[in-house]
Amino acid sequence: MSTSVLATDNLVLHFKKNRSLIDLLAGKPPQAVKALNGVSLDLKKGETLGIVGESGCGKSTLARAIAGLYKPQSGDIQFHGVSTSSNKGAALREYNRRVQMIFQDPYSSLNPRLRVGDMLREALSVHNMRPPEGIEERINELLDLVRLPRDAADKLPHEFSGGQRQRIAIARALSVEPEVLIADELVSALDVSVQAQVVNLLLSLQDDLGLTVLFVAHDLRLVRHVSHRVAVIYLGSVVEIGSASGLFAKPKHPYSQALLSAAPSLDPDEKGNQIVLSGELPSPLNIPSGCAFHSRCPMAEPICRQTKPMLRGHPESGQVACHLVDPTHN
Amino acid sequence: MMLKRLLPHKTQMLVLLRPGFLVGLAILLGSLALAIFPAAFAPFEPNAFNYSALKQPPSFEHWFGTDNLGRDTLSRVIWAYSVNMQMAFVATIFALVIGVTVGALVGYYGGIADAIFGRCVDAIITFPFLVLVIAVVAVLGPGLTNMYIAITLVGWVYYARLMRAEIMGQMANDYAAAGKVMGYSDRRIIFRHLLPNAITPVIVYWMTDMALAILLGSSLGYLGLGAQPPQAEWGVLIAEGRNFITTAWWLSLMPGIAIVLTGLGFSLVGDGLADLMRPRG
Repeated sequence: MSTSVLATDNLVLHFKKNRSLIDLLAGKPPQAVKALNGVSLDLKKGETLGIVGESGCGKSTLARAIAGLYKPQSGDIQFHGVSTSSNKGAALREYNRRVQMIFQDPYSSLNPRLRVGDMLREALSVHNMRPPEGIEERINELLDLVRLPRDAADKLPHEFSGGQRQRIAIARALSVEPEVLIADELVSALDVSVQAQVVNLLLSLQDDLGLTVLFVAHDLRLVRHVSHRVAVIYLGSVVEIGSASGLFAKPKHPYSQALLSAAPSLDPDEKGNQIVLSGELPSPLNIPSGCAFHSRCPMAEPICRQTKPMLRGHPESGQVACHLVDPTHN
Repeated sequence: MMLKRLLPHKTQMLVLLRPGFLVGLAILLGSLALAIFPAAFAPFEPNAFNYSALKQPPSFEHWFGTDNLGRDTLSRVIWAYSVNMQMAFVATIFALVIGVTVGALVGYYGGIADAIFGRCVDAIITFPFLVLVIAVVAVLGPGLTNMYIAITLVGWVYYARLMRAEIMGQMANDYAAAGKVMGYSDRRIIFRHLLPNAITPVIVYWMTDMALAILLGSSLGYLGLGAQPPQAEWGVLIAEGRNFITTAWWLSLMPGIAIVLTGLGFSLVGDGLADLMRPRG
């Protein structure tokens, strides 16, 4: 039985919208973008958990909240079973060291004025990863690890391509020897030709270093390729979570079914069965009552408008949040 | 370390070869030489009276002529370089340091501090700069030191405003968030990561501000609020020549040209630095 490394427990994160003076005078209630509405997930040691969902569903917010960039309003993030909400000072730094993140855009996530070597040296020395005399050697090791030439250390970020920059970002994250790596849209800013290179690098590093990875992406085929388990998010809530093979082969939640059917297929026989959802994605300022998906669900029933469905175990090794999916049989 | 990161890439060094930048640099270096070693360049003592040569027009002996007490104008203009170049630096450096620090902190933390800062800035910039400085000098009393204090008190706001906006712009980049995820302290993120990327416009503004400080300093000198006669200072010199403007034009014109030339030097160098320090991709 694999153990849980990192778990989120009913994570809620709302961004308050600034009220204009006129709204204030008119007595309009304050509005908030409800980015995360009770997300509970757990990451098991050494696995890759894929997070999928459409734009604006809260994928990136979830990644950033776990990395500690946003403070959730309620709920908790547990690291090795210990709550992180009261972390301060040294404990917070230690958490930051052990849970690292790689950002979507390698053109903005690297300081344009720092040479690659200085970037790694800084990370190594701030966290005392090596004695001062061992730092140069470790920089070379890290560059080897992400397959960059050693003279890269003396160069500035603008001298590299997007794929190389993303590998620099990976080297920086790995320099502090983390246990958990959060990859937020790791390759979506890269050319298709280098996407595979970077993803395969991540996979081989995961094997070598025993990393636990949270892989946030909107590219469904990519997520299927890299993930052991996948969670589908809709408007800040997990609607279904299960093994990658099981979920992709047989999605249970009507939203998962629609989302996965939208992925393009190379199989010429597989056409014409795309589920087209009616309506737009509701605004996260104003999330529908009950099941957030009921306004677009082709199978919605009265109960869906009233009660929010909880994630329930499904015999085929997954969990689904839907009133209409019977947990006892298919 | 800091300097190394502020230095530009090789290809950007080509900016250094542009004529505008070279001319500006030559003017500034020349001004600096005159300011540091005025005695080596000035042919006469700046305050030596010569009653046998009163109000003489420019000649081979007195290139810029002499004033009503027979003092050599060229020597006085040269000696004024040390006062006026000192003005350019001293009147701006404290404003720069205070403004950059406050602006960086306010831009990074935002919130209430930012709101209070915003109102203060609004209050200060609604007054015309010169009027406010004159008001402060009037309270403190005339003289160079009080003038520096007055210019710093008002001037830091402009640096802080610029810095705040630049820091906020830089924070849209993920490298600031990456620093947080790496567990770096706020101080490290602000001063090691954000500041070197945000400082360029401030440095460029500093160059123009130094020119403005010379202008402002000589204006106050002219009005009798800055340097006091008989000290040689361009504003004081222009004021002294004012009474004889119809009969001895060189008394006011020569220090005026020095002001224009030095201001031009700062502006040209500022332009060159703007191109040079722009970070790439």
